[in-house]
Amino acid sequence: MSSDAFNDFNTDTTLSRPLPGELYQRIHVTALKRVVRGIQAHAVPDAIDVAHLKGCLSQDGPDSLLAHPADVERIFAGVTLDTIRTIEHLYCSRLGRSIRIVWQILNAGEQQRESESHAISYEAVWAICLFFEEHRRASVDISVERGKEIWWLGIVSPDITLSGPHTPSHRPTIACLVNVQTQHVLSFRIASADVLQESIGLVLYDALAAQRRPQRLAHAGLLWHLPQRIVTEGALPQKYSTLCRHAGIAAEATAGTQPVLQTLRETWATGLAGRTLSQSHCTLLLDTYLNTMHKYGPHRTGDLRDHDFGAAQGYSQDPAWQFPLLRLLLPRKEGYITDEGLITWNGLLYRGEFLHVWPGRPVTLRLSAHKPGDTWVYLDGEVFCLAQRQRGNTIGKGEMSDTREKKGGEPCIS
Amino acid sequence: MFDIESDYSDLGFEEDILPPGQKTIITSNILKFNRGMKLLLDSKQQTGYSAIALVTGRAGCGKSVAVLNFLNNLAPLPHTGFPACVAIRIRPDSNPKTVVEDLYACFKEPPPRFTRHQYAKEAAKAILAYDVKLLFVDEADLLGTSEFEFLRFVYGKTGCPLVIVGLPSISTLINRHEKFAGRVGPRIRFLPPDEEEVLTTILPNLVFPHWSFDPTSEADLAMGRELWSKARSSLRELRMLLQFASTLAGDAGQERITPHILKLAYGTHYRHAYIEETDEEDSTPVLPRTQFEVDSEERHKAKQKGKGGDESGEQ
Repeated sequence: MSSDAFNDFNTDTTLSRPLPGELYQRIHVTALKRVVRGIQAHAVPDAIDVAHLKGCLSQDGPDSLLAHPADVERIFAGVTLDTIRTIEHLYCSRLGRSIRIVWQILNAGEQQRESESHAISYEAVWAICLFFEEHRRASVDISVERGKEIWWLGIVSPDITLSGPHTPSHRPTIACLVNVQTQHVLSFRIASADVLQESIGLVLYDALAAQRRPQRLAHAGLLWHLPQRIVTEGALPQKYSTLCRHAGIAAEATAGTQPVLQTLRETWATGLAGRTLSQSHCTLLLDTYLNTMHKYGPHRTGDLRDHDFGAAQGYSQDPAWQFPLLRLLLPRKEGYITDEGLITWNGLLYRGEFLHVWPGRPVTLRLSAHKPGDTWVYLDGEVFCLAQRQRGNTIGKGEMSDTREKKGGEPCIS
Repeated sequence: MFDIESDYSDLGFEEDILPPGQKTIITSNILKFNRGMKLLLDSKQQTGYSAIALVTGRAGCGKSVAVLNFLNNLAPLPHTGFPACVAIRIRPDSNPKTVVEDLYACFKEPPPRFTRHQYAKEAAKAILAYDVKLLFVDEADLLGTSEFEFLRFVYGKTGCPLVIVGLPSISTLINRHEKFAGRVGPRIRFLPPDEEEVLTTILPNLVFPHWSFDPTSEADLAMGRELWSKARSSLRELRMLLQFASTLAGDAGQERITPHILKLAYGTHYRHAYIEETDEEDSTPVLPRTQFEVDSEERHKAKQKGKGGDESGEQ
């Protein structure tokens, strides 16, 4: 349960001894009060009847939420100060682990030590997590500024061939996100039509990430500007519609187009018709064209912005770390945890926290667009850890070189 | 062809820009140059291989005009908004930084912020970003070792054919840089135009006030032969002689430049002997002397006096 326990240390110190029962009771009643107010209502343990608690609270006052000391002792069996500190560390992080994941991490540690008797109850972990809810919010909250802009998502399919030493030749599709008011292409992604959905996610990610700017009083030092509406030429994939709804952005489909997209199709794409280019060259050409003709090249402008804001607090960190919702826009891959406690996907190995406690488990990866070697790891659909690619080691030696795998595995070319 | 209104006038130097009304005269050198450039471009497109071309010729034989004429005949690419070929002119104080600055100036863009380690990378990026198919490097005889290495890197990185334009001595300079010399393919030499081309193509197409030339007139042909011999096979010198002859004709109120006016113009030119007296056989009536003639004569006399009257060495 403790961080030492994960390292197979079994120390007998103040940190590893149980706390006074009153403290557990206080934690528990604080959690009950909060759940009655609707905080983390989806994670309530089965044993707790929220409706009943609400009735008790309204009839008998807050004291009615106090659990019997014997029940508290049972619920918090095995919980020490070190456990609480570990839970705080796991829960109050911008990574945004859920209570269930925190509990699973703790219990997986116990199971690995084969001491089932010391397993910590879900209710105890839940109560401690809710006790730290304010701290958690301070860790994960973001500052948002809502604008009145309308963004327009369109697809351009130029008659060009993309080829490279590590990728088969293909005809690309370009997902572009346009600011309707300024006619600036805020972001674009060039990829094969097979991965158009990934491109759409990434183009939204890029545009949203480009809207962040440093502000002293904002959470984590960043203010995120969100548009009012996103209009798409064709239907937006369901997962992205849901995400837009969560972010408070209206999404709708249309049959029209935007002048800047029309120009791209009629002028830019025509000029390159029949050409074979590398992906990076194509990206450079499009960005330069947009910068020259439309006064806004998303990559060039982004470089200037990074240069200007690079030293600001939090700006250089992964946008998906700062704004957890962005992770859902990243390419999703399926991997599994090896016996050595590493994640393997596409021949690549990733190292991360607590992986060794679930050998053989399938995991979902969201590949970072900010730092291609990083990936967000999801267990049963909930974020678990941030893993880093382990360089030099690959599964199936001799089958694929590291470089080749990197090209296949990295979604972003900047 | 390369007129003041051209979009590319700011790429060239004032000296190379032809005055209003003067079209580029398509000489055999320009045709040869255009053929060479087409070969370079087609070769890259058809085989995928690139090369560095070398264009050499004496000063004033029309190399820069040929480059500007070539550029001016290119339409902007639809996907970049700029022509596929650009030219940079090496400055006397040239270094890799100035070369990158000049390159970005071709695209009317300020050079990005970069450190001295990124010059070559930025130049290569600009070439790829604007889909440049041919890069002319004029006045290349001013290139130093670091610029040669810089250009070689850019060439290697982008595969963009380079055209090095300079005086004949550039060949010797390039041969000193073995890695660079090894990449040089086509070599185009600008030779002085022969007399026939001068008489039939160049002189009739030069536009100056008071200048007209009829290639079917024996008198004009004789005047043209003398003019070309005085120009010492240099188009620039030919232009300068006519430039002053035109002014003198204007001052003298003459309708057209005559052999006599030309002789006065030769006299204004340091390299040629001053013609003090008109040819006795010349039937041209004596013209009223212009102030310029008077001043020139006085200066010449003073000079002769100072040198003991011996000017033969300057012929």
